[in-house]
Amino acid sequence: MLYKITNDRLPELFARVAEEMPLYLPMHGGANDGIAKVNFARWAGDFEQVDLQTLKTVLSPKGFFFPASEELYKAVLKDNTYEITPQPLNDKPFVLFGVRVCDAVAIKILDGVFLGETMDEFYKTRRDASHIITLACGQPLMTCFCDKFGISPNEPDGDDGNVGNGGDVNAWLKDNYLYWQPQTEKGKILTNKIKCLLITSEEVNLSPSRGQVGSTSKKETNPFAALRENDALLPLFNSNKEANPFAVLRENDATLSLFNSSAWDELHRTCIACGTCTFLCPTCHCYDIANNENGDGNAARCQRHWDACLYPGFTQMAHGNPRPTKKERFRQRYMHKLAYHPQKYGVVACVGCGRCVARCPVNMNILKVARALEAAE
Amino acid sequence: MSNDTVLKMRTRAREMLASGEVTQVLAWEAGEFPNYPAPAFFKDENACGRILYDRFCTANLSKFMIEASRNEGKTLVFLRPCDAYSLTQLIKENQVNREKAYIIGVGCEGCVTVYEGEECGLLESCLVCIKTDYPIYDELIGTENNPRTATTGTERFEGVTRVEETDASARYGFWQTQLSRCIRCNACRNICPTCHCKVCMLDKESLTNPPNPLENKFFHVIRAYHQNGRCTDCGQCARVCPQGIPLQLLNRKLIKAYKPVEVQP
Repeated sequence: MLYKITNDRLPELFARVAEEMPLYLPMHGGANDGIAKVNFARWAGDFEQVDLQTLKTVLSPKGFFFPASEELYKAVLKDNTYEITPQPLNDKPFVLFGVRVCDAVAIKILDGVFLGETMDEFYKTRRDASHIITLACGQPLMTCFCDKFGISPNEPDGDDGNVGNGGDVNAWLKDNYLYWQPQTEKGKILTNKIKCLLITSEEVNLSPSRGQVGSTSKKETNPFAALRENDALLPLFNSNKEANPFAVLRENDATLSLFNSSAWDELHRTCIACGTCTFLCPTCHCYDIANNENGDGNAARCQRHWDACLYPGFTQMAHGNPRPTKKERFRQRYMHKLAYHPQKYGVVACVGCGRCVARCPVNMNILKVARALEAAE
Repeated sequence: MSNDTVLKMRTRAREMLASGEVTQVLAWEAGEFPNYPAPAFFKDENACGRILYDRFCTANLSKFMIEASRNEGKTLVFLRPCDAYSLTQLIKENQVNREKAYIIGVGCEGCVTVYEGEECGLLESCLVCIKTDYPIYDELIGTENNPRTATTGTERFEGVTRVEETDASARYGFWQTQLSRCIRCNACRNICPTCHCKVCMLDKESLTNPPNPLENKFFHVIRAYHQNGRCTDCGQCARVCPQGIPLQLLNRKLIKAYKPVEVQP
């Protein structure tokens, strides 16, 4: 079923949704360098702050399921034993509106990790409580390369062999309307609660085939034209391999040769090992757990924080660190994304959102690494 | 940047690698996307055709010289005035061995902010640039017609003054808002040429630092104090912040307050 609502009634829609449960959507932040910084923030009635045009929020929505910092349990010493109190699970439902297709697919990749063989209760509870409403992109940006992973920015439900995105509701902004299409049971229940505001829509071609995206766009050409031109720069994508450019990296026997590739010797040198890419990446999910005791040894709080493989403390153990220098840590990041993750979960841990491309202080990025690796083969 | 400058840079890089005067060249090369050039080391003279230099080359190469000057042989590095000031500081602090660096000062037109490949005006640090000279160099390329003119130096404190003029609670509120956005990604620290401690005192041994409004303030204020008297105001910290926090204000506040101690002879 397809619904729609005129754009001028969006504030009403958001207010109505927020009556049901907390609503988070992309909003303006500071702009020191004159470029708007948009991040997901809670709806507080101010439609002026909402930004549905900027495609990339600085931080991906992964923090709603896997927060930057959380407490897992408390331990208190009583009669010579530690009494452990797990942190209560927060199962309060919430809505995330305006999740781009790449970010939604990234959440599915995280699901594979956190809901797989070892289920993470904290993640699962927040995931179950979430209502994800995707928003089609229209025109992709220059640093977008989601199509390299079979993701289409305007076909969130994944037609013609694309990966489905797992949104509970899919939405499109087109011709002064917001189109609204519930996908899952959760999405349908939410839709029923706000139905009074929606009107049933006739069938509209919301997902034009690639190459015709965005009738209102400035460019009439393929939305990925900029990237296609770049393909000339990318032997990786010029090769006559399978559709997936990283196919070569999936092969088990290729892993060791990649691991030992001489390309790493040069590649890591210009990385400043800051960790920005890992924090902004929608699929990076390494974390660090530590018990912080209160000082006299009779109580501790167990905390989990985002970790970055680029930091010297990453996988630091009592015996030392298996990745002693920046080179090994840098290699870990890209081997994890391009080789280990595909081997284990069958999917490359990259969705082509391009945050690492746009935000790296020294313009290092996953494409550069993949290209250099292939060239070194 | 004039094409001539880039061609000269490539030629000199080739010559110096070929003659063995240097073992590597530190410059910029084209990135995967237009207008996203990246710092790069060149060891092969045949690769020097990839050297690129334009207004999008925003990364300060000085910090890479810490590692590079520990490598065997000399490194040829291309520096703009502000980068040369950073390198001077690093040499002063014994982080870079001057003997291991061959420095070519390159002309500067100022760098631009880029959003999705499109130019969005000069970087804030270039708008208030006070450095158009080269405090250290072995030779210069393309500096004859340096179109940049330095500002008088008062402009760069305007932002600081604006914050100073507000009352204490407004100042606190301003920084509370700004620094609460910090995600502790360490981009500002790791790009900073004068942040070169092997182990940062603000890192915990056991756990990564999560963003937290209180600790964020500690981090940035202590970091600013640690740069006091050493910060060359290259503006890299503010440039790289993914959340757009005006970190230059902290450093400039201290630069404004800082007066070098006069040492009695």
